[in-house]
Amino acid sequence: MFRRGRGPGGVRREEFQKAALPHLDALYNFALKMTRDERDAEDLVQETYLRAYRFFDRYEPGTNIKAWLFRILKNNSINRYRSRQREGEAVDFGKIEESYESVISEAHRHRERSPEEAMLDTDLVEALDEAIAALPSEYREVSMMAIVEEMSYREIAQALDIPIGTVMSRLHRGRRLLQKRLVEHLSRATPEGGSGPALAPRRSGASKPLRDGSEG
Amino acid sequence: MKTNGGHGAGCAGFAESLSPYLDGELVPEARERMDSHARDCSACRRTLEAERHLLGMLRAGLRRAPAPPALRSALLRRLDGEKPRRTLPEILRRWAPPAAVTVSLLAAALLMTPALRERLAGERRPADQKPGAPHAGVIVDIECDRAGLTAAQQRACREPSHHNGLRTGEGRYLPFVDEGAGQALARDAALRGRAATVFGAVREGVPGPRLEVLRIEWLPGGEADGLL
Repeated sequence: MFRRGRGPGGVRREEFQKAALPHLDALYNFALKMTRDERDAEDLVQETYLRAYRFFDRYEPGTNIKAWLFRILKNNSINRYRSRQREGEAVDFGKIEESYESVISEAHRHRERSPEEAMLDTDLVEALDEAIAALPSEYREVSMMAIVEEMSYREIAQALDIPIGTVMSRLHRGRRLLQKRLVEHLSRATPEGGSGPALAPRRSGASKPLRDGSEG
Repeated sequence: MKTNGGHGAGCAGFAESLSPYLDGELVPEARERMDSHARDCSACRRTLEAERHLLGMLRAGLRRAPAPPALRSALLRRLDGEKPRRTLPEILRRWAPPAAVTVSLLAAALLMTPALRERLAGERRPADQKPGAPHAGVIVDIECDRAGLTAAQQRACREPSHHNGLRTGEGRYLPFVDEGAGQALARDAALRGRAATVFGAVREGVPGPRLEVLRIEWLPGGEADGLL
């Protein structure tokens, strides 16, 4: 009878798990932003890890395993979701650049709002989630990697197999779009003339339960 | 690769390098030029502060949520059932075609049970054997499992009177027929703990029904260690 590998196979597995599992959250979130579906994201992540494990001998120890894993994830998603790639809205970047000065002015107005407080603002988190979903996929990928995963330009270039210059230009555009949405949300949420603290007033039409369970 | 920011510390150069500056991608000299310009130019300093703030908000708002715990455990189970390519015998690597699919099929071939191998070798089955209904469950040492032993303990058990069988989802035990091709299945301790769908015919016998296995499909799941 053939036995399952306990010796070398087992050691390799431990090595792999130790190196690769810490990046599970990062890969999952990236997959989730790409597919917009929890189950698809889970499947994609599982496939990615299995593939990475099978080809673990191709990974050069000491090199960037995160970029390697993201590369596999990205390739897997191309195969799986080619027909379903969400392409986001068409964007006029000329206009985006023109409005940059006003974006900066608005941002300056809201400079007292702390990022920690922003994290707790579910409306804001939702708005940003929509904003990133609306990005064209190539800007979304680079933006996620740079902003959320804080990967270096080089790591991103490796993961997506594109030149660093392309990383920079896509990130620039992705960022501009996200900044614009962010600032639009901040301005909507706070009264004119103030760099508003605390909670935003409810958007009209939506009745959401407050944290203590009562209806807003 | 670090980039060199725009030449001179003029405002246009500053604006151009703002993104890589915030991302920590500038070489130290370029970074110092940016800092020095920001000290001297209030407009650019204001822009820098706004950009820095916006980046902080984006990072906070887009912060990643942890993956569902079920995903982590499912992943560990699946990895446990896999073998990395490197452990394939050299001879297979040399003459197997490079395509990954073929290689993994060959790897699966190594894990075949005698029953399955027999079938693929084209041996004619006796006429009275019909493909049976599928039975899904976990392969266990029935006597040990009844006693509540873990998979690891079951695999370590060498008691000759103990037999393997399938524990179905409903908790029913179906011992494997302990003769002929089924003998290996009924006695191999290494299989205990593995989840499978077993296709076979249930034969009445003494003391009770036994499962004559015609085909096995291994499933992810089951437990490598710990309670089944």
